[in-house]
Amino acid sequence: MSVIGADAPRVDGPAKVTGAAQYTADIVLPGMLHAKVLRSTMPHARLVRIDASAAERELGVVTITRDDLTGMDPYYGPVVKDQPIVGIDRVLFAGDVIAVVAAEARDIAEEALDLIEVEYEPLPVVTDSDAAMAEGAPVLHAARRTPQVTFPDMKSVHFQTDSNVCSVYHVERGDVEAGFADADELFEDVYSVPTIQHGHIEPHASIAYWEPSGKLVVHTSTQNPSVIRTQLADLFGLPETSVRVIVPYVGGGYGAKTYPKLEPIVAALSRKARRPVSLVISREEVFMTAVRHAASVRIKTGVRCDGTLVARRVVATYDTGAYADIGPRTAKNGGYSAGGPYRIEHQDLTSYCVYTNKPPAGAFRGFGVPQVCWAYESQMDDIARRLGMDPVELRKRNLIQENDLFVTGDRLVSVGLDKCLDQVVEAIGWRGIESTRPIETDRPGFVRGLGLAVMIKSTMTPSNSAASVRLNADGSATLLTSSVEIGQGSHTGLAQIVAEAIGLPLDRVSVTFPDTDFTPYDQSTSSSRTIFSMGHAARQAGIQIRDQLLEIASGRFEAAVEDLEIVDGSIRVKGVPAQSLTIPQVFTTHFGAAVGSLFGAFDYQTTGGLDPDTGMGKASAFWFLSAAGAEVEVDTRTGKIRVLRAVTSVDVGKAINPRQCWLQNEGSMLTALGSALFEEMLFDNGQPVNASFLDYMLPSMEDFPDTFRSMLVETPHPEGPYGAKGMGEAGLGPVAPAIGNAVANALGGVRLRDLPLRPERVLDALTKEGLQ
Amino acid sequence: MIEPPLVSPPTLADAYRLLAESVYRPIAGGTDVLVQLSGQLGPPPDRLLDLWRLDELRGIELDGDALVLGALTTYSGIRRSAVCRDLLPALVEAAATVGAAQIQNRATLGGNIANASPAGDMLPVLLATDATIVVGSIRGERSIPARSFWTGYRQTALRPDEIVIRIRIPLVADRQVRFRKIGTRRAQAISKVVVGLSWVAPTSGSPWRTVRLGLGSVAERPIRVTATEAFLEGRLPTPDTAAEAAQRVAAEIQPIDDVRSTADYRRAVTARVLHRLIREAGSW
Ligand SMILES: Cc1cc2nc3c(=O)[nH]c(=O)nc-3n(C[C@H](O)[C@H](O)[C@H](O)COP(=O)(O)OP(=O)(O)OC[C@H]3O[C@@H](n4cnc5c(N)ncnc54)[C@H](O)[C@@H]3O)c2cc1C
Repeated sequence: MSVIGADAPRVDGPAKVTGAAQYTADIVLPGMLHAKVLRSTMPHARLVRIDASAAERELGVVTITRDDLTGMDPYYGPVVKDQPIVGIDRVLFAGDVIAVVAAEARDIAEEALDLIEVEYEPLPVVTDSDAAMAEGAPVLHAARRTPQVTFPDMKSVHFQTDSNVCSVYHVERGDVEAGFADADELFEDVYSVPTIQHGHIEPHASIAYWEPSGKLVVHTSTQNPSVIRTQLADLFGLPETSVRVIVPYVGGGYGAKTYPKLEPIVAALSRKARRPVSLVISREEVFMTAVRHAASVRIKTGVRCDGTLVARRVVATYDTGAYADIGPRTAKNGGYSAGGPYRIEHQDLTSYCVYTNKPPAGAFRGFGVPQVCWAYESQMDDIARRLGMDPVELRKRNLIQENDLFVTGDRLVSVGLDKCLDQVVEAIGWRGIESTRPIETDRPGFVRGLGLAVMIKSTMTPSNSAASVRLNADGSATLLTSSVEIGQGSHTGLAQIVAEAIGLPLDRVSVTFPDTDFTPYDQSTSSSRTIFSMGHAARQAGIQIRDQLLEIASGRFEAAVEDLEIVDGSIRVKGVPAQSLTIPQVFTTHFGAAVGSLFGAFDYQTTGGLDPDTGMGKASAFWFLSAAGAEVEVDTRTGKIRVLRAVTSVDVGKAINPRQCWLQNEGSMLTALGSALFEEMLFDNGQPVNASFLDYMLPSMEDFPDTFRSMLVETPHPEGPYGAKGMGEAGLGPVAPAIGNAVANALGGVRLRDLPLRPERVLDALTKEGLQ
Repeated sequence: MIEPPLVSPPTLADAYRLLAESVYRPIAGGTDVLVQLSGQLGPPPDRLLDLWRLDELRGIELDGDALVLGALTTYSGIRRSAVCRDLLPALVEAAATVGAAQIQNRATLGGNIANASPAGDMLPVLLATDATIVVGSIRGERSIPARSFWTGYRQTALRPDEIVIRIRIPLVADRQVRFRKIGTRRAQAISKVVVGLSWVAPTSGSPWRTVRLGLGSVAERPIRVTATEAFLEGRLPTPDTAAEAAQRVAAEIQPIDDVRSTADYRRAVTARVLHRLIREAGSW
C-alpha cells in the first residue's frame, strides 16, 4: 500500500510528547557562557557614549560593544546590509541591540547589564510608513549596501537610497486608467493591518563557539541554516566551509526565524570570550526581534454592472521597521499578489517597503499576502453589495482558471480555486445573496453573519533544494536534508516521499537535522517550499536508489528492470512473488556481503524570476490557492465578535499526509483569527506598550470556533512530488477577510477596514452609522 | 530575575509572628506575585511569606446568614462548591471567567482581594454583595467592608503586618446578584469592564431595594457607583429605568484610555451592560 496520502503519525511525535526532543536552549556545552542583551530604551538616538568598562571588570564577564567589532564588516542583512551586530553610531528602535554581556550564569549577565553606561542623544522618531515617507522625515538609512551573496529574485526590486523607502516593486498590465474609464462603478478604499508578532512558542535561541582551527560553529533555532552560514561567512570574512550551522528541533517560527537574528551576536561574543556562548531571549525580547509588517493598502477597482472586474490599482505600503530584513521580498510578494486571484485586464500594482523606528519586520506566514488579501477580499464584498450580486457569483465570474495568465505573465497551473470556493460554500451553508443578510438570534442585540474569501499566493522562485539519500545494507535509508523540522511535519512528509520513491516501509526511513557540514544545500524552510522543493529532490534521490536496486536485481533474476518492482523493501519479479530479494540480499549480490551503501542525490532548482524593469516573468514555481468561510456573532451592544464557525479549503496538489495538511490549516486559521480579532503591537511614540503575552492578545483555546474545519482540494502539480504543492501558508490569508465579511454581513453592510476588529472599533462604526 | 527568599510558616500564629517581625510579601497562589518578581510592574518583593500551608485559611462554609470563604479558596474551589453554586451563582460565574483552568486551580480569592487590581474580576461581586473582608495579625482580627477596602490605585486598607484571612458574604433573602465581564478574548483576558449588580425584590414585579452596583476597570480601584444605585432604588426594571440608569452610570464614571481599551468604550459598555442586565431582569 502506498504511503503517499496516508495519515502517517508524526516521526517527531514521541520525542516531543515525552519532552525528549532537544531544542537549542537544551544544549549545554563545556565552558559555555550565557548572554544577555542591553537594548535601547530610545526609539531613535545617536549613541554618544557607551562605557562597558565597569561590566568588563567583573570576574568572568565578557561584553561586546561597537568597540569590539574590529577586523570585520559588522553589518548584515539578507538583501540590504543595514543591521549592525551591536549599535554603532545610532539605535533605530526601542529594543535595538547596544551591547551584549556573557557570564557564567544568566543572572550574572543580567546584573552586569546595569553596569554599562549609555548616553543617548535623542533623534526625531517616525513610527508609521506615511510619516516615514513624508517630506522632511528623518532618513533612517542614508547609506545602504547589498551583501555579496543575495537572492536571484531580488533583481526585480528597486532599491532607493534617498528616503525611507527601502525598495519599490511595480508591475502593470493593460492600461489601468483606460480600464477605470471603461468601468461602470469605481471603488476606492484604504485598508490597514497593524504590526503583529508571530507568537512562536520557543523564543529565539543561538549558541556559537569557535574551534581552534578558526571554524565557527553555531547551533541555532533558525529556519534557514544556509543563509545563516552565508551571512556569518560574510560578516567574519570566512569561507563557507569555515562556518558550520547545526539546527536541532525548532519550536515554531512562522517566519520569525528566517535570516540572521541572534547568530551574529553569539558569534561575535564567543569570538571575544573564546568560549561557547548561548543566548536565549525572553518573550518580551522576541517582540523586539521579529514582527509582521504593518501595511496600508490603497485599492481602487473598476467594475462593470455585470460584475466583471476591469481594472485595479493597488498601492501597498509595508512598514519594515528599523532594518530591511527580508522586507523587500515581502513587499514584492504582496505587491504582485494585490490584484487577487482574479482575471483583471488592467492592473497597476505597486508596493513599497519603508523604514520606520520600529522592530524589524520580516517573514510571517503568508509573506505579505494577508495584508493585501484583507483589502481586496473586503472590497470584493462591498462591490457585490453595491451591485446587488451574490459575492460568490461575483468571485466566480472573475476567478482565475487553469492556464490563465497571472499579472506577471505566468501561466498558472494546478488551479483548483473554484473547487475550494465550492467546498467552502457548501461547508458553511452559503445560500446565495440571502446569506449576505444579518441572521437574527433570539438574544436581543446579538446578530450573526456569514462571510467568505479567497486568496492566491506565490512561493519563493527561483530557489534550490538538494537532497541526498543513503540506503544502508540493512534496508534502512537516511535522507540527508537541510530542511528544518519546525513543527510543520516536514520530516514525516519527507520520510513518506523517500519511502515511496524507493519502495520501503515508512519506518525504515530516517531524516536528519540540518548540519551544513554534512547535509546538502537548501535555500530555506520557508515559503511553504519544503514538500514541493525538498520533496522533489528527495524523491529524485530515492528514485536513483530504486534504479540501482532494480539494476542489481535484474542481473540476479536475469529479468528486465521493467519487470521488477519494490514492495515494502523487497525486490520482486512482478507477478512472481516467490522470486524476491531483500535489500541485504541485493547488497550481498552487489558487494559480496551485506555491507556498503547506495547513494542518491539531487539538486532541484525551480526556474523563474521577474524582469527588473517590467516586474514581469515567472513569479512562482507553484501557486497557493485557498478559500475560507466564517460565521460570526456580533454583540452590537458591546461590539464583541465571536467566530462561531471557520472553514478553509486549500488546493494542496496532492496531500502527502492529509492529517498534517488539516493541522497546518487549523494552525493557519487560528493565527488568522488572532490577527482578525485581537492582535496588534501598540507603540507610544516608538515605545512598545504591549510587548508581552500579558497585553498582546493571542487567541485562547476558548476563542476557537465551535466548528473548525479544514478541507483539501487536490489539483496535481506537474513538478510537485506525487503532484504535491506547498500548503503551510495557504489557509491563513482568506480567513481574516472572511471574518470581516461575515461581520459586515451581520451588521447590514457596515465595513471595518482596519484590523484588528476590536470591539471599540465595531462600536465606533455602529455609532457612526447611526445604528446605535 | 532574582528569586527572593521565602518562608513557609506551618500555622497562622507563626505567620502572624513573622509578619510582626519584618516586612514580607505574602504569596498565596502566586499567580500575581510570580509576575511581580520580574520587577517590570513595580519593585519586586525582598522576602516572601508563603501562605499555602495555612489550612486555617481554607474552606467554604455557611455561617448563619453568611457565606464564609477562606482567603486561600481557589476559583476551582468556588466553581466546585455546591454551596456557592446554590446560594451565590454570580460568584461562581465570576470565578469561571478568571484566567483559565490552570490559573483557577491555583489562584485564590484572597490574592485577588489583596492584589487590589482595578481589574480584579471578583471584586465588583464582593462590592455588590456587601461582603466583609476579615483580616488578621498578631494584634487580632478586624473586619473591613469591601466598600472601604480598596483605597486607591493598588492600595488597600491592609496594614503591613496584616493578611486577609476570610471573606464573609451576607446572604440576603430575595436578593438577585448578577455578574458580567467584558474582556478581549474568552479566556486569559484582563477585563475592560467588570460589573457586579445586586438588588432585593421578592418578585420580578417588585420595586428594587438595596441596589448595589460594583464596577471594575473603570477607575483606579474597584468602585461602587452610589448615585446610580440611588437612582435605581425603589424602581422597577422598566425600559425607562434602564435607559435612565445607563445614562447615569455613564455620567458617574471617569474611565481612562489605556493599552486595553478606551475611556469612551468603557463608558459606553458599562452603560450598555447595565441596560442589558435591567432588561433581562424585567424580561422585556
Ligand atoms: C495568566 C493569568 C491570568 C489571569 N487572569 C485573571 C483574570 O481573568 N481576572 C483576574 O481578576 N485576575 C487574573 N489574574 C490575576 C490573578 O490570578 C488573580 O488576581 C488571583 O486571584 C491572585 O491570587 P493568588 O492566590 O495567585 O495571589 P498571589 O499572586 O499569591 O498574591 C497576589 C497579591 O496578594 C497578596 N496576597 C495574597 N494572598 C494574601 C492574603 N491572604 N493576605 C494578604 N495579602 C495576600 C500578595 O502579597 C500579592 O501582593 C491572572 C493571572 C495570570 C498569571
